[in-house]
Amino acid sequence: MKRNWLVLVLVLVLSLLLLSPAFGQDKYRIAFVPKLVGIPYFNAMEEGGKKAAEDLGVEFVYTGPVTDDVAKQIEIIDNLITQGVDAIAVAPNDPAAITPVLEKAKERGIVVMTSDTDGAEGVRDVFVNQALQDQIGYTTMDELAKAMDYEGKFAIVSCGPTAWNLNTWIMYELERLTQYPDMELVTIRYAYEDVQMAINVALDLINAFPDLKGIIGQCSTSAPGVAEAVTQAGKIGEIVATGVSVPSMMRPYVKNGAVKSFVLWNPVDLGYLTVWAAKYLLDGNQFEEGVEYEVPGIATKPWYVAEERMLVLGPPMVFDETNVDDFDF
Amino acid sequence: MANILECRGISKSFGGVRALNKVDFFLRPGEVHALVGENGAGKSTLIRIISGALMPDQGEIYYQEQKTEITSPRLAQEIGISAVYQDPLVYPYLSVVENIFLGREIRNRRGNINWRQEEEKTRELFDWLGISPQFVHHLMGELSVGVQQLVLIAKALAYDARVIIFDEPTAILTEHEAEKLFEIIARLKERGVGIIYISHRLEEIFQIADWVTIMRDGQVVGDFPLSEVDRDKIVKLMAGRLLVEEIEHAGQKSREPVLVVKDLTEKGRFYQVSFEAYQGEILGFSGLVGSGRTDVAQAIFGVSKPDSGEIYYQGKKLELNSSEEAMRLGIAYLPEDRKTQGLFPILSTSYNITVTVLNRISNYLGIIDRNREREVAERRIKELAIRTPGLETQVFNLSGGNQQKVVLAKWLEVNPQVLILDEPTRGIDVATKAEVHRIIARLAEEGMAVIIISSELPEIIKLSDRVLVMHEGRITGVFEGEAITSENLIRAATGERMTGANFPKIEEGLP
Amino acid sequence: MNTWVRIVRRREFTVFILIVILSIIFAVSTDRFLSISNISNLLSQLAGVAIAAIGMTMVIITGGIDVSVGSTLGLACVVSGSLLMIQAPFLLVLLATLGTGLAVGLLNGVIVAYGRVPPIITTLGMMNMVRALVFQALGGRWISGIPPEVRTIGLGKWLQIPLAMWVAGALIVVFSYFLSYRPLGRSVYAVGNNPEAARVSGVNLKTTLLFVYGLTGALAGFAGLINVGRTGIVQTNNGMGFELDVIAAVVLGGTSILGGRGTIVGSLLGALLVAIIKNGMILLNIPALTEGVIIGALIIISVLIDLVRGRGVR
Repeated sequence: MKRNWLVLVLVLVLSLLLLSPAFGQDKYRIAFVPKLVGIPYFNAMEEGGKKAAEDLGVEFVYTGPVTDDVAKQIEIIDNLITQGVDAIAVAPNDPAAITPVLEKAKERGIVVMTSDTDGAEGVRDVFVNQALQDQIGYTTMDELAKAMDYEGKFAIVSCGPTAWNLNTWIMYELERLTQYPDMELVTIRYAYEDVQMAINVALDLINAFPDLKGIIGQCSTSAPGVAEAVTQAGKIGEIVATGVSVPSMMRPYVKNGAVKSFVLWNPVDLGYLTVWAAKYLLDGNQFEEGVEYEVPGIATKPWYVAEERMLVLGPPMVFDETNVDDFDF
Repeated sequence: MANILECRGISKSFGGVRALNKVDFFLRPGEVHALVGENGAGKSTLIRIISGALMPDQGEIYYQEQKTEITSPRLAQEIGISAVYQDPLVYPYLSVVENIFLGREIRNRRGNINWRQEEEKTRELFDWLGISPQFVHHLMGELSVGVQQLVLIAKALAYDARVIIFDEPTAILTEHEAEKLFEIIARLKERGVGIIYISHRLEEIFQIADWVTIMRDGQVVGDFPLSEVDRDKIVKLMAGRLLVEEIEHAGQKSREPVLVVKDLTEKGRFYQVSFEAYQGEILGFSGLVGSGRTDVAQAIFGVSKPDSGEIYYQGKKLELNSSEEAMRLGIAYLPEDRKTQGLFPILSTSYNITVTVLNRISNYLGIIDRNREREVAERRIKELAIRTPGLETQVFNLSGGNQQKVVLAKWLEVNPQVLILDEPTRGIDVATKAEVHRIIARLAEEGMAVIIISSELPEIIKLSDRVLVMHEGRITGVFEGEAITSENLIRAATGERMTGANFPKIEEGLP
Repeated sequence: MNTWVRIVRRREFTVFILIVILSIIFAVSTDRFLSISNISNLLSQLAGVAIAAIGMTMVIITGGIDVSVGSTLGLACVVSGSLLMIQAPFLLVLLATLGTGLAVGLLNGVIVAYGRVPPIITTLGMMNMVRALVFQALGGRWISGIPPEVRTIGLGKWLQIPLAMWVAGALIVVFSYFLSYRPLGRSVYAVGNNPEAARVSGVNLKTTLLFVYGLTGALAGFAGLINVGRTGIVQTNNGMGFELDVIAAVVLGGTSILGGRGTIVGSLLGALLVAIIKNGMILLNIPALTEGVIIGALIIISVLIDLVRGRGVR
């Protein structure tokens, strides 16, 4: 049984190592769990979070799963609870499945927040919202309509068919579509988080609908994918691509004309605001309805919606050739 | 002419057991040299040494008058020694051509495989062997075993074999196929190929062999030109003076038979089998592997359905549709291959013992009562002296003998009236074997009708009160008491029809 | 049995017939299906899977499996993407990409052949390790905006057919020939048929395994280069799930998952069948969420057809 002892000792040492940052800590430790790590969007949020941590004198922990897997997120949050962080913000992959583990966190006195995507509405202290869903949907549709000259057929290429925020945006896009009677949505397709698949799907769409005038790439991978497809099909000028994505990926297509404009918010600011809000709550403050908060370090003026316990970063941002070079994420 | 192969003083031991003891064996070119002996006499060890699968502990092999170390089957093939086993080693999804030339491809200058030439060569060989050329393009797996065997002969010829070993080649062949094989062997002889021919069928040996070497207990006990021996002499040498300590049991043979089998026939497997089994008696089933012993047992157990004939059990006619029914009625069958048929190797010992009686150890809700399960298992483990670290130990961790006891325990749990044991001690160590024998004797004492099928003569002789011998699907002899001798059993097993069941008269000099 | 009966009885033929039937249905339903641009799209979607399937076919014939090809593709994307970004000469990019894949594949091969670790475990481990390496290498930042001038391998066409597909076709011809006409190719089958017999017959088991895993790695790497060429973007999750597409194509094309038999052409047909279904779904504007149902059903149906016809060898 000698080996069992060895294993036990190893486990103890390892757990101590993991727990050690929890000892002798005087700074707040604020964690953010993205849907997945390793994509530019969340990297940008991480960047903002780090900046806020420096400015505000707190410690920022950024950790998440490598695929958009809610089970992994739950595991990671569980570990964060064990480590004894002071606040946890999460962009949940499944708004319902995340609830129990956040409840557990709250019971331990941890400030619990959602950011980027809402979830566990009954539990979390605040949802830091990048922009109101309706406004993102409306703005995307408006940008497409403008680029298509308010007429013609278009298609939507989304990522996962179960992504709640993407589906909500699409819902508001369709609501807005009623204002453009000469435009027609031909199909909604899904390409998951894979640029190559988005290109394949969009190329097939261009073939299937010869009179297609526009394509929305609903998520950060499908937007550059559809733009690349328009480029490869030699349809720049005939078909316009738009969508919700990050400037670093969309820049080449804004330059070559496949994309006239696209929609996003500033994820760096969103990351900053998340950490700022956590610190604000940890300091014992409460948010109040309708107040516009002055947050040094970000460009917009966030406001609070008490009914939904939601802190809104600001209106969505439209990127085009005039400003796309100004952003680094 | 000089010997093509000489084995001198070959000895080989496996873990202290001497399998071969200073064996000399000589083979001349153009000779068909039969190698005979009972199971365990050392024939297969010898040919595995000759074909490179084993290395001898002592002794030398001279091949074409050169001292040669045959270190691998591959080397053996390359120098011209090929073996055709009864279970051919083939690649079922590769074509006949690929099977023949695998590892020895005919190549062109750039090193690519020259399919056309390989095919031509195959056709040539097939032509010579009289195999229909249509088979050239078949996948090996599509061919019957008989044709596969011919392909392997072709493969041996493609290697330009000087020595070909046939190990029980006719065991799986139809009569017609066997005739065909003998023709081919005759032609190989003409080509000067030396042939080592192993068979249990003495009549075959008298038909094709020139010379015979007889082995017993790892030694050569006879080596003659065929013209100098007769069947009787061979049998006597094979049997030797087999020393068997008898096991006595005090079982009282019931007056009425518990099982009566009448003219049972299943075409292609066994014909007109009739016998009776009594409670308190051990009935031995002897004969070669494939003689139909197992098939008869399986028919009684309801695994297969006979074409004609009747079985009476406890006085009533038995019509079985499944083995479950047989089990319910009290007939148990312990199969030959315990790995695939008798055991659940990765499940626990107690599970394996109680799997046949789950009803009995479950409560009224159908939930298994762990305590009862443990009781049952513990009782059997003690009774049969099963050596297991614990009830939860996975069965594959046990030794072969103890695994066999677990199978036995499982069947005893259903309280059978008739217990059929198929090769109950194959592959288990001597000590456990003796234990199993004692258990079998005790079961007969307790009034069970035990039928034991075994290829080991000493086992049969030691245990049986009465022995039934089968040859090619028919009963060729029934022996009781003093008449149970190895010589008699060998005679009947090699196809001599023994008349007068209880007082056998031995017919002399069948061809 | 004459040659025609043999061909018709093959699994590949079933898949081929399914392809023909579907093509007819799609062609009748929409004139876009047989348009040059659509066929060209179809082929460029096919190329990557078809190339990786060459190696995967061999691996599965030996009785193994390689689930690390998706991660290997991802790593190869990182290598080739970084080099293309700095406009390195194409030959260097090609060698570096193939080398990366080859290294991963050989490592798989060494562990399987010498360590005797079951292939599914080896490659599952490798899949995770290589994916982690991709994350490390990219550090979370994607590579984007690789200029079209250096992406010829993904964008180029000759006679309206994508360059990548020409390469895939050439590789398929070469390796089909290899499997039939080189001794090493034959030993791939021998190992999968009967490893024990193969060893006895002097087939070098280790060399054979090293070769098939190494080749699969290198070809997955090449598929990565094509991926970067097509997208101009390197994401951290490039190639996630790719292994399933490849394995599905191979198995659909008649390679026995238990090893021993199969052909590269069959795998190509398998890949083509899946690609045609996906393409046709969009052309006919069948709702996206039924796509999975239809692909899954077709896989099962094609195997069922085979079983019903009761093909020869058990």
